[in-house]
Amino acid sequence: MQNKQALIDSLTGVNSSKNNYYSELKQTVSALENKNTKLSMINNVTKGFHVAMPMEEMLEMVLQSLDQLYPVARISLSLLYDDSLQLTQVYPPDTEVFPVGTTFTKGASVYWEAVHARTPVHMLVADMPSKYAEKRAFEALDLIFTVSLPLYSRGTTLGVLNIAGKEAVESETLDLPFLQQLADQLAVHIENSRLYTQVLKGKQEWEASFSAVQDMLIITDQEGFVTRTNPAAADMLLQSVPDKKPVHITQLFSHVRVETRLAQRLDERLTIQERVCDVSSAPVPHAENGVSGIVFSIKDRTEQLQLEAQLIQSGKMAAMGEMAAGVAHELNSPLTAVIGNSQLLLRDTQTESPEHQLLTDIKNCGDRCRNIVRNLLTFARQDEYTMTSTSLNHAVQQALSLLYYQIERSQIHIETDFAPSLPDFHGNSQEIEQIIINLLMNARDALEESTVSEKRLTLRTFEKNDELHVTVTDNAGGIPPDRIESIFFPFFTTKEVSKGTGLGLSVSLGIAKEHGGTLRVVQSSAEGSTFQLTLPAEREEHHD
Amino acid sequence: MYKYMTPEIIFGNGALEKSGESCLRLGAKRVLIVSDPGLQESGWTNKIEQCCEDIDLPYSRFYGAGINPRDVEVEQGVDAYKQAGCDAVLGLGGGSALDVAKGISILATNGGRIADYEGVDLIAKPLPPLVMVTTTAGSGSEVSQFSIIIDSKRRKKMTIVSKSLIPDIAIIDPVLLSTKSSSLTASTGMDVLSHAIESFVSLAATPLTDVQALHAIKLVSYYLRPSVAAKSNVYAKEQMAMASLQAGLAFSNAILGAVHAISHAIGGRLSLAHGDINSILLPHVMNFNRIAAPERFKQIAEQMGITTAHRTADECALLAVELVTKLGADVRAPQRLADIGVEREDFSVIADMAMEDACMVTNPRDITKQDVLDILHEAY
Repeated sequence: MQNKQALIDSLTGVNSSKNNYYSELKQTVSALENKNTKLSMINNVTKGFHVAMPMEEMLEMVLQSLDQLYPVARISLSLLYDDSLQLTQVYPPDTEVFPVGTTFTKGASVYWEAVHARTPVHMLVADMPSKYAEKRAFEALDLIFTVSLPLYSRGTTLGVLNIAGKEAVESETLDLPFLQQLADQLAVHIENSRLYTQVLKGKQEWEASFSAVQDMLIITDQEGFVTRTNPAAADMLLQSVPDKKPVHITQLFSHVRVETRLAQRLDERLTIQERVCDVSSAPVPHAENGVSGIVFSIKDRTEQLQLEAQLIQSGKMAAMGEMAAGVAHELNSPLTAVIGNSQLLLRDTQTESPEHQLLTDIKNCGDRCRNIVRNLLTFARQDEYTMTSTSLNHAVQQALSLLYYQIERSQIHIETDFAPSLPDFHGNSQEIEQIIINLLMNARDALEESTVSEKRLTLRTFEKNDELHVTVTDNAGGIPPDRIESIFFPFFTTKEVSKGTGLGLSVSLGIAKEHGGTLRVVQSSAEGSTFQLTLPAEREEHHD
Repeated sequence: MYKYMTPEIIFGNGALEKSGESCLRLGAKRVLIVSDPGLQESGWTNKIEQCCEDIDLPYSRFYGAGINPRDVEVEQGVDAYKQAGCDAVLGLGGGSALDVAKGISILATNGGRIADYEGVDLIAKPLPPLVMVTTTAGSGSEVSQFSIIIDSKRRKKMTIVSKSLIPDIAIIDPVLLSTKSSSLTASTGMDVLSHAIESFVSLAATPLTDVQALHAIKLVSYYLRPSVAAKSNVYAKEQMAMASLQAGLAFSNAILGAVHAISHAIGGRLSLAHGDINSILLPHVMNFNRIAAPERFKQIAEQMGITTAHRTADECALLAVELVTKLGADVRAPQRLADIGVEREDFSVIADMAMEDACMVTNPRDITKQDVLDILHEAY
């Protein structure tokens, strides 16, 4: 009877009304608003992600957004590594129940089910097969429903995103297609993040190598402006072009017209800041056959060349020393006879007799010869060079004594001006003598070629600013300006092959530096040139 | 507690001309006119198309409704509606065309198949703007919340009940009745009487429906005969149109009874005029229901012109049954089921279907399958 009345009520329509377009419209609008909310959510989530974002933050963001729509209490991310599905992130963290790192077994996991199904898997925890590993964990966390969303990007499975809540929610309410869209966005970001990490690692490795290389590396843009340098190059660049404005590569290779070669590969030896450098360049390839810039690799060869020069020179010196020692020994016996015999004769000769003067000359000349031989032996002795307190004047005089006659014979007038009581320097006399000999021989060679009427060579020593100086000045017409930079380079010579090796000045410079000093051209004009060796004076008083 | 529902109603000679602008007022951009071949023949569809053209309302035609509304016709109609991009439905015709128009409207916005909506309140979404012009003064479909559609497979008339089926605007133009044959006038007229009587004795009758029902009974009693007698009797046609409208409002709100339940069952199996079946069944069902509401039947008798003073209610009720039988005979409506081709071997199936019909719920007297079979045998 009640049933009948209920039927009559529904027929007469007390409990129903004609459907109304306004309510229909409201429903449509609210459905659209819901859709909009979801779209803007996806948009926000997508905007909020950035490649360097930690995974946990991403999940937190997704959870917070989802929370506005559904009663979602837990979100987890499991990633696939070589066919092994592993729990990677959980938010909020619940390590006690289901620790991060747990791997899931195929066939006994709802996550795997989602991977295989390739579609969202919605399940009530109560309905979940008990063989599923997740069931125990979800039950322990009081979760009622769960949705597992496969993560796909570019056709590969990345893993599974799982969301779960503590209230029963039907799959229609959850809007699974929307959740899958969200998961798809997440998948793209996870993929991007992975790629980014790979690229970042590659970049870091490259940058570390770039910095570690001792050669100078400079990268320029297409126009030749420096965009990047490694530390070695930065130091050099800073010296060469101190201001921070965009530096053009030609400012570095000023005397080489590099700009005409920017597009080509460069491979040659250039002088940069008084250093000998091997410069090579290569274009940086860019997409579509373009060139985005040029890499310059600059290898400083100066030290290596000096070492080579010193090796050659010392080889020669060794040979010469042996030869000189041999010659000296050969000469010693005849000289002993000459000096001894002349002394014997002198003893028996009256002072007034004309022979006496002749014999005295013979003896003096013999003595001088013996001195020369002795000097030669001393200079050529191949002892280990020891650094001791040494008198500069003595070293200069020793050197001069070796060459004095040669120079005089070339019609060159030698003037000396040695400062008295110079302090000693710490060094090796033989090495400093070698520098002076080199300078004297260069001056003599220059003067020999010169047409000046009164050939003059001046040798001075003096002290200034706690430094000891030796200058060798000639009046042979000076060094051409374009050669001044090159004269200290190894193997640079203006002399005939028979006369010079091109090693003299570079080796001398090396020795000067070893002594903490310098060797420079301090003056060069049409009249002549002055070379100056500067050595630091020994500060401490020393005792013999 | 009760509810009374009615569409906007435009009643009067020449009301047909308001059909186009009624659609326009409801926001129609292209209207699907639903009608049947008979009305096309008599020129009424041309008239309604002209109405639309006059106000530049684009329209499409679906004139495929048959004598009984079938699911297939509804599907064809909804295809036409969608292909043409219509957004409103204008029904023109008797009960069949109007029910097909309702069916098309259901599917136009709700989708699916028409059988999905059989029953009460199963329509979820509002229908497109719906304007109905009745041409028969019988079915009451233009004001009712019912749509009766035949399920071709089950050979069954499905009763769809929903407030959403009440058209937005009902147009009743008595002039349209002037082309009807006398037999159709008689058949639909008897249908109106069955609507009026059944809704008056219905368990869901209310004072609001009673007024409509009783007045409809009176109008039919007085004007059906002259209306059948002469097509030219405009006044009688107008009164019959009002009787149909009032009976329609009454049964739409008070629902019907066993006559319609059994009639739907027969109509599902045989393509017969709904009014003819009702006309045959009405006196027999009244006789069966008599004891359930004697006072009600007494009032019916009063409306039909019986002097009730000094008569018992049951005497009056019996007189009413007699008067209904006589009216049917006078207008030459069919009198026996055998005359219209119903077979006795179908009775059991018909009775089973009738018992399931929604209209059976409001029948004033509790009824069994045997009761239905008895009625069928009496009416055979």
